[in-house]
Amino acid sequence: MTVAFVGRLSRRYWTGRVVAGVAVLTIASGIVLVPLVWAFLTSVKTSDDILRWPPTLLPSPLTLVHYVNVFISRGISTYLLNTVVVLLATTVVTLCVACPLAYVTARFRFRLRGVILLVILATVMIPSITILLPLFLIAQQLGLLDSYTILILIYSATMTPQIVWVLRGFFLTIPLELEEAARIDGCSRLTAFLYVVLPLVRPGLGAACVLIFVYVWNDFLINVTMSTTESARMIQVGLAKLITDTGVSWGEFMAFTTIITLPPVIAFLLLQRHFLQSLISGAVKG
Amino acid sequence: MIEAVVSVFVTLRRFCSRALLAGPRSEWREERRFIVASAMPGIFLVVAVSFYPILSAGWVSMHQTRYLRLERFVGLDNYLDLLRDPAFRETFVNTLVYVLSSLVVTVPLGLGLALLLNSHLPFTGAFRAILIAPWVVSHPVAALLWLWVLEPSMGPASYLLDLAGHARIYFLADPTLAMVTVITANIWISYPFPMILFLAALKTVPEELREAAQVDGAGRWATFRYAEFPFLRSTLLSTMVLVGMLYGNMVALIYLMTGGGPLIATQTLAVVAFKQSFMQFKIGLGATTGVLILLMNIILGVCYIRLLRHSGEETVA
Repeated sequence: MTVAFVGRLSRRYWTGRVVAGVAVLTIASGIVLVPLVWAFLTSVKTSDDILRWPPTLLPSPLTLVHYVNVFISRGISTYLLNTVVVLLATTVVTLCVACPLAYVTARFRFRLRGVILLVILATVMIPSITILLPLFLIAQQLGLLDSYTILILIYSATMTPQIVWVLRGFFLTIPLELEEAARIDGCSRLTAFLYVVLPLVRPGLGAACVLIFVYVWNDFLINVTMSTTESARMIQVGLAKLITDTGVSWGEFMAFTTIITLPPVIAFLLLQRHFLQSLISGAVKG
Repeated sequence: MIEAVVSVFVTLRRFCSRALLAGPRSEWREERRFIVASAMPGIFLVVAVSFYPILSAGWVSMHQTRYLRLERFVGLDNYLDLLRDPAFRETFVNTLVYVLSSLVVTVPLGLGLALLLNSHLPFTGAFRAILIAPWVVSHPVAALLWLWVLEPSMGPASYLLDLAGHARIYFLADPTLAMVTVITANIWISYPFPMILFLAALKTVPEELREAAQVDGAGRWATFRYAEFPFLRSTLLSTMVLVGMLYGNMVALIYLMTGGGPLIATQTLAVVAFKQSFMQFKIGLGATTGVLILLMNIILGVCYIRLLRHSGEETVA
């Protein structure tokens, strides 16, 4: 069998498959995009246009009135503000807590290391609905309901195990000699960690931030159970609350949806590689 | 060469500094202090927020409760009450239907798409980005998007039915259709996760193996079965368990789409636990359901570890 023959054979073999494969992927992508595109198109149509039968695909006069309404009469800015505050605090707390833990479990061998890793793995099996009721009772006793504090604590605690797994993987790739050199040059363990090791795992920290961002931004369950008033409600609960409010138009719904869906989608598109990497290392090992 | 010299130098210096500056004992003690100080905050946070509440849930589940107060210790009565309740049994069946039907679709779908994305087709990058996108969409948003697409009086689904000459369908009014709808929305939002895991596993298959299979005349199926599948087996198992747990614990999507209705046709265990705890404030029952969900998760988790160990032995043998 000559090389040329194999090449021809494989080329003929591939052409039909490439077409079929691309066709399947196109159809799948189309189905995936339908609800998202339909929602966006609805958000820029006038209310009359939305109610028209048969429905039109493209908005005939383009309008941003629903976006304006969402800010003026649906108070999305409060929800956004709450979300951003909780998100930033959660990121800081989680990283401060998970980084050192990931580092010592990657770097040192000590008696409790196996137990710690097991405890961290076991959290995968704990459903949030099981622990939310006791957490609600505790928060109520401590007067922490409707506060940022309880949200930040719960989010940090649920994210910590996953972030530890992700960061541990990164710490394991850093050669020991580097730190030892730093130690000899007069760094303490802490300064060696802060100034030598931590800058090297920056991609890991980036991945961790993306994971925390998507998790907190998209959470509904924890926020809704810990909030009885508006004071600490975040965007997803804000959206859900619109469903029970009367007189909310589909246009406003979809404008709200578009506003809160864009940031994670954009973050994902920009940081795809980091994101996938962290998701995989978090899930396969966890 | 230079690296070797440097590393010898470093080792020497380390040796000297250790011998000269610090005794091994204080070194060890300092190290231990560092480890404890680094690990404590994380461990404390996880134990306090994730593990302690489990005990608390177990304690609450053994009480008769009124609103948020524990009234009387009743042992396992709440569990027996729930297990005797036909509505609870229906909820349990719903959960099985929801989890298994979703799994049966998302895992093969994720696998198929991952195989396609991994076969050097044009535009793979764009397709991959689009196909993963639903994973970053939140569950409330997904619920709303699907409610809007399936809206009976002005949604595009009704329009398509109209074109096909079919009457409008009230998707969420019929018990079976409501379940199908919720499962569809769940498939839409969750298939990217298994797909991503399979993509990662497929990257570990050596390209030479695939080429060797093709040179040997293996078709696409045979290549998959004998060259790629062995690398996917453990991922397949772990993915099914992880995704199964995920589905069993979902609240937002179902609750916001149907509220568990019509009647209790789409009510899963997680949804009923949410409703008992936070809508009806029957916290004793809510805690009991929560503990039962946890037990199911643990059983799944243990099976998973068993399976993994078993398949590991197989590969070794």
